[in-house]
Amino acid sequence: MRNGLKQCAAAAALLALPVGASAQELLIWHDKGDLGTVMFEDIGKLFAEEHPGVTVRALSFPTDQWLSKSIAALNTNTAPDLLFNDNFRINVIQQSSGKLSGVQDMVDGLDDATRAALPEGALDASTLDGTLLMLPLQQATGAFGVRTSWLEAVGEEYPETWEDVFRIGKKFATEDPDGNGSDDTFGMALQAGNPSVTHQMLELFGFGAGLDHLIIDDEGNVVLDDPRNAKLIQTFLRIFQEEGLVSPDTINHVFTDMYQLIEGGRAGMFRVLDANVVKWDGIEGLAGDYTIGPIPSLFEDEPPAVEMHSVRSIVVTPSSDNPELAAQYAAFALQPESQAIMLKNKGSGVRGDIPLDGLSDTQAFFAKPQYPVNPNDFLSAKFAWYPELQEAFYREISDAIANPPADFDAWIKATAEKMQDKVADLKD
Amino acid sequence: MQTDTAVPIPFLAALRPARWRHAGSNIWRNRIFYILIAPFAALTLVMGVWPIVLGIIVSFTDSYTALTPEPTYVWFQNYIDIFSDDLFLSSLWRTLLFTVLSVVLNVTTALALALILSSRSLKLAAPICGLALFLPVVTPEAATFIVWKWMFSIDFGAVNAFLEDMGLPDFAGTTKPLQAFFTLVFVEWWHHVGFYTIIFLTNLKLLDPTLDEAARMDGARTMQRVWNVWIPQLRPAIAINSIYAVIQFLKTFAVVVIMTNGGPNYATNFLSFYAYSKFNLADYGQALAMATVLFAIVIGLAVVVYRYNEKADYR
Repeated sequence: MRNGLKQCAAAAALLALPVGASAQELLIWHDKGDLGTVMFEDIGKLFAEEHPGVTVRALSFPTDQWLSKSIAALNTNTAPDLLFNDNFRINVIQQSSGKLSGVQDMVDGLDDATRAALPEGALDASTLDGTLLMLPLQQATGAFGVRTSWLEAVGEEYPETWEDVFRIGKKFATEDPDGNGSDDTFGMALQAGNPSVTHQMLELFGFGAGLDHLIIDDEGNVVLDDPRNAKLIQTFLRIFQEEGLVSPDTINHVFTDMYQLIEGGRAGMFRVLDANVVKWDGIEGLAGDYTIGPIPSLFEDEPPAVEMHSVRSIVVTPSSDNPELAAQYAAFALQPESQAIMLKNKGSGVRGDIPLDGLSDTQAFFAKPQYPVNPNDFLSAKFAWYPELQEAFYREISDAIANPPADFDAWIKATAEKMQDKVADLKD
Repeated sequence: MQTDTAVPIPFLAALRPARWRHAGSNIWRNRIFYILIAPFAALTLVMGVWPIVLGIIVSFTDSYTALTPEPTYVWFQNYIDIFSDDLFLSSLWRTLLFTVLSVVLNVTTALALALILSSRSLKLAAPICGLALFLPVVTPEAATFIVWKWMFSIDFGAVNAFLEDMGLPDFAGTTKPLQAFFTLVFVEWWHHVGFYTIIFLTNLKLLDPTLDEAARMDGARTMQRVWNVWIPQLRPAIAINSIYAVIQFLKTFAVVVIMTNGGPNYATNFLSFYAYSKFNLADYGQALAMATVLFAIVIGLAVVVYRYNEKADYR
């Protein structure tokens, strides 16, 4: 009897050995929601075909939590194998931890076709203080969307300029474009409740309209009072001052509130990111009823364009139990079949040669841009203190939204001087 | 010339061996009691005191290394930084103003409500009114504040619909700085006043009826009886409510997160919320320096209010 038990135990141990020895799990933290999790795990299944026994698990956190958890985990050597997010957020965690060592070796090890398919702009945006810090996987694009049926209801066409936006917005707010008999619609949905992300809106309209820089230039000189920049800022503030263009509650709105207005059918014009359309194409009432186009024009000499909003990238953390395998997975996510999965789930990849079969019209708008893609200046990659300057500037914007300046020219001049002082402080 | 060597010093006296022996024998005599409370004392130290001590320690470290095994100590630099931050200073004053307004409003209205509810003429309606007052206290904060956020929405909120029906001008609710501040004062009052009222009601039930009877027979009017007979006997409830309210409103957080996110334009950026925002950006040093300042203010004000209530002679 005792011998029998011993034999059973030995057999069980032998059976378990190969599985136990090769079973490995890679864990990724991101903030891209359920579709992001599906995306990473589907790529993981493909990866497992080449690496039997490997499973990939992805966890999505709200953005704020992702930031604080990632920094804490890096500082305590408890980070997962891989971290994925927009380049400016990976810059923040590096500036708060200094634990990431760069991915130059990983890029050097890519096959020629993959290396050639990586846009230089994406690599530039993935660089911090001269080090290629992260591996770009997606190039996120921001554009402008308008409810098609509302345009028809008020007899308008897609807005080409900001004057068009203000005119159409007024009609959306007053002419019951959804035909429900209630005065419950707004021209546009925005968020201005969180100064640390309000910049995404201003940057979309600014870089999309052709600005090279918004607050400072490459040398660190304040440029926000240059005539073109001032025009953008004045136009942005006007959005909040025009009667009914945005909900008065916008000043407290965060992204969740903004999306409620868009998805709930209460706002006619809105920001559209490539990552939005996969979800929106499944929302009844919104799917098929919005037109995506370029950012409304601010300057006559600039062609209609969209904004390269961010470059979403991945890093292998120093606390990974299996950094080589994690690096292989990251590189695998750049293969065409992985990039196709990204395109399907989150609306974008980074390679220029991804097969576009089976995409909806809205996905194709981003996957195969018909308009120039103007890059964000990504100055946080150049100046470690830039996020702090951005926050200081957006406090001034918040103040101007709450208390519209009587004399805009004087306000922009005074704000530029304040920012110049802030830059001097930050440089010290 | 007189020397002070003969003056007894209580602290030194406590260190005398005889005193220690006495304390030791006392502990030995009550050993069962000490053994029984030891696990709870240990739990309190580990779960209550240690996190506070740890928080204070982290407030002296560089944020980037705060969570590492060997943090870099910057000592008072985080405190210097936060007291050089205009946003922190405005947040501090705003929190104190909010607390003073809320404590006065809640304690006085709770006392008035308790006096009304305890009056004989309301005998039948009192339980229903008491229940109505206490319901907001037991309603989950998240649900409560979301509903108030919608109620005050300038787009579709019930408050403005009502004002419109009455022919009154719109109320900006949480969309303008000053109005947002007072909106939160009101919502917090609605949420908490029932609790303070119940404490007063409990104390009112314990009043000595003979004192009131004697005052009545002496010809005291109602307000004189309230002021000179009831209020002095309500001293325990006033003390508990004031201290609890000071602690409660200094730490105001959930209502800000749900209704205003600190805005508009930082008008409701109270200290707890600001520290939380710093924490979210992994600025642990400054976040915990702010939390420590808040902790010190909470303890300090609570002690002041307690001492004032202890010393005040209401009789």
